[in-house]
Amino acid sequence: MIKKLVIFLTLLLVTGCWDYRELNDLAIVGSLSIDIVDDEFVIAAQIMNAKKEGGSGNSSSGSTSTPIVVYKFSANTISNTLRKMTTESPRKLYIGHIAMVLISENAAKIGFKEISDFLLRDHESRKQFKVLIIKDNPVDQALSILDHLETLTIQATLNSLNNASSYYGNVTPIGFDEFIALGFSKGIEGIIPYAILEGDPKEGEKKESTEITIPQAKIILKGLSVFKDDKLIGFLDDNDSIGFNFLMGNLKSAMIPFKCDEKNYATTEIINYKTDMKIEIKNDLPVVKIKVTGEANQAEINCNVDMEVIEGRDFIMNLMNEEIKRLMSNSIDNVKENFGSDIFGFERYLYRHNYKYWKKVEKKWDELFKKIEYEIDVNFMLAKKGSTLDSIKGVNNGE
Amino acid sequence: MSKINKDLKVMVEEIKTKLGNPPDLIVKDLVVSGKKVSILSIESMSDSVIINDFILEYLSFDIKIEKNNNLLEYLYSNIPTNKCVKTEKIDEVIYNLLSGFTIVLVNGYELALSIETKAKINSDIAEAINERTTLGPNDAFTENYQINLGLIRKRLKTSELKISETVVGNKGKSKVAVMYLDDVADKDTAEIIFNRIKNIDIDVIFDPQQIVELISENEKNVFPNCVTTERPDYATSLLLGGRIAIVLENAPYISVVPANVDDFLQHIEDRYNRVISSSVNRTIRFLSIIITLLTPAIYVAMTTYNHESIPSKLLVSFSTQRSGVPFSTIMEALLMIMVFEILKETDARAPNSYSNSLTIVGALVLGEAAVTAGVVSPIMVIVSAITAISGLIVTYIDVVNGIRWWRLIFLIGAASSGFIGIMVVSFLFIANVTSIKSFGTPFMNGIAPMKKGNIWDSIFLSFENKFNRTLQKDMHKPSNKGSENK
Repeated sequence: MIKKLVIFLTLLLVTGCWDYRELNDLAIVGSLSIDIVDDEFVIAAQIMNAKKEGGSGNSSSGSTSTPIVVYKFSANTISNTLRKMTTESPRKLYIGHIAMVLISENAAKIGFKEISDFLLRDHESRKQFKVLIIKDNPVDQALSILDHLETLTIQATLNSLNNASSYYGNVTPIGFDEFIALGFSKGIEGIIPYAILEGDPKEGEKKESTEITIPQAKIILKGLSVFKDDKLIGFLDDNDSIGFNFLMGNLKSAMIPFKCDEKNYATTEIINYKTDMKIEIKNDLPVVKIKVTGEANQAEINCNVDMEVIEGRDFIMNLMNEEIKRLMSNSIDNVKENFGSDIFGFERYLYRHNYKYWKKVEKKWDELFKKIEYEIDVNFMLAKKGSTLDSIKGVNNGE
Repeated sequence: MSKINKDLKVMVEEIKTKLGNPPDLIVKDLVVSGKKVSILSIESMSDSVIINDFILEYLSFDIKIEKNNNLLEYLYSNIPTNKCVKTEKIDEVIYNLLSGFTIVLVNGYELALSIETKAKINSDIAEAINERTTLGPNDAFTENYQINLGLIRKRLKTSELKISETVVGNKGKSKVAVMYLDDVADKDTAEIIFNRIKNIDIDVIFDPQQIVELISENEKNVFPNCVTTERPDYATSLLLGGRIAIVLENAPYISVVPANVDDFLQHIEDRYNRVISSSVNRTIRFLSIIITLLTPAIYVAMTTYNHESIPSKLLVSFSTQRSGVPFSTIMEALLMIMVFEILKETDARAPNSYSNSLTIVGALVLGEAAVTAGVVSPIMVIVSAITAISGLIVTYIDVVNGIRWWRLIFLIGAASSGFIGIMVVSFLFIANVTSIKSFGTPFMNGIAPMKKGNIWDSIFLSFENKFNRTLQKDMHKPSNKGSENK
């Protein structure tokens, strides 16, 4: 019995054996940024500051140091660079909780093949973290900016990405695993949302910058970036991104503004919709047929349209249908003419639904895609008119 | 329905056999006016003062009646009592007897007189202190052996209730009764238990749990193999489920064997409350057991091995709270659990007048000061508090202490290899609890070996099951008769 007890008590003391790490020995990495300069990786890591300030357990109130710390190092491989950071950091870097990885435009142009291996291979990191391309500016600057509303900058960017995707529609959050699945699979090309840095990043790093009401530096989500294979080849603007998301069914809700007379605008809000894509073969050439049906709310109207009668509502809906059609066709035209990258997955559709034809055109798909024909049919219904009937501006101007 | 026999001796014998010759049945033979008269009463249910002062004293008068007169009629109209009933059927006689009436049988008559002599066994019965309920009866067993028997008799006025009595203790010589319901309980088990009790060789015995420990064979287990209760209603409902009760003289608790895991997860009040509310209460109790077993272990595993299982924001919060704490997480956990156990033990042993100061010191030292001083992290205080509170949801101290052992083993598992350690200990735990046998019946009966519907019933009470006696009956019959483990 005493022997057993001794063994039990010894077990308590050998807690240091395998994979054992106390929480306060870890530096929790919230985000990484990856850049490639002169054939060397430049990695910056945003670390959540988990130091207890003063007597209270809450780090944000009355704290004297910033809520995040950024370490920046460069080396030949990503894993080596991360280990190199221990020469500066008092704690071991723990990348199991990375929420987002920022990738510089330059690195993305060189290609994801260069940077993916470590992130996929490492057992500690999750593969579902979101990826974001930072255009123009050095990517590590984006990591260093402090946010007003969220303690952790990366959380702010992540929330913004999710909200913009849900309510505005110009971006779609793409997880690392999703991108690897898209970018390296046949028949469809990858997309990643991109952002730019506005303001003065040097000011945004300072703690005082959060004491001014107007953010000194900010990350702004601009739209989607287009990939061909694993390489970045271009960027879509707001409207093309919305058109793309519409077509792919990624959009959850969006505002569609359009002109309802010479100079005034009206806006409708998409509530729900369904996109059906079909590819038919005519004269041995593929014709994409897209059909969109759904419901919309009248959000804003500034023209003299009588919303009480069915003609008025039809008039607005027709204009809106046209506008959505325009967004989509612009997006397709732009992608096929400027980038030639099949981000819509037309080839995958053919592969799945018309294998014989796909087999025939497999080799020359890139050329075929640049000339692909399409027909778009948009049919929305006005579900709600809003709380008023006629437009205040429209009616008063009309009289 | 059998009627009363004219022959007095046959009649008395019949009543005795019907009742299973209980130790508390008193038979007194007299001769009144030349005729044989027997007086029967149950000692635990009737008031001996009334019987002595009125019935016996009256009958000992020299009653003179004329030859033609009917002695039974004469007694019926003349005996000094407030309630006297003539009964014809034996079953009625037995019912009256068990309700505390005194039966007067006269040789040669097919009638019996039932005279009310109920003892006031409610008079000095205290309220149940340790097993409180808001609904339902609130009386508790007392140190008086006869009253304890009476409290159960009061609820089971049936001749099926069998009591066998013996004396335990070479010097103490305490009476011990083994009670069971003849039609539901397993008679073999009852007999084995009774024989083992008879063979106990000890000087003095104070608590029925000691008896159970002396006669059972799994004394190495941390979980109890008997239910010890102070509530007669609970004891009665267990008897109805085919259990065997052990009543000891001078002990305010009685033990019921065999024990089942359900007995500790359920509460007698579940049967008084609405079915839906009872199910919620049972679910909470079940969850609490899991919480109190696993919370410290899971916390240690998550914060020292499996960081990826904590949501990011919580991880930062944990990390912030941990910073500056000098001990490792496992030491911190052991420290807090230890302090709580000390506090609990002190509180249980200290006189009532000290409990206030204990509370203040406990709250301040455990909660506020330890955190402010940076000795433990606030989250550890929360973890140990949740563990402690959920641990006390079970009222049986033996179960609470059994869970305490396993909590420690889980903690060691977690500290040595994280969630894998918890998994390994889980296997050990399940293997252990499923292999316990209490007097031939598996401790986890209903769950392992599984019986259809019983798992559901042990957490969610349905209206049918709430009043279903056969379900319990099936449940507690030993699965393998004559097993060596009995």
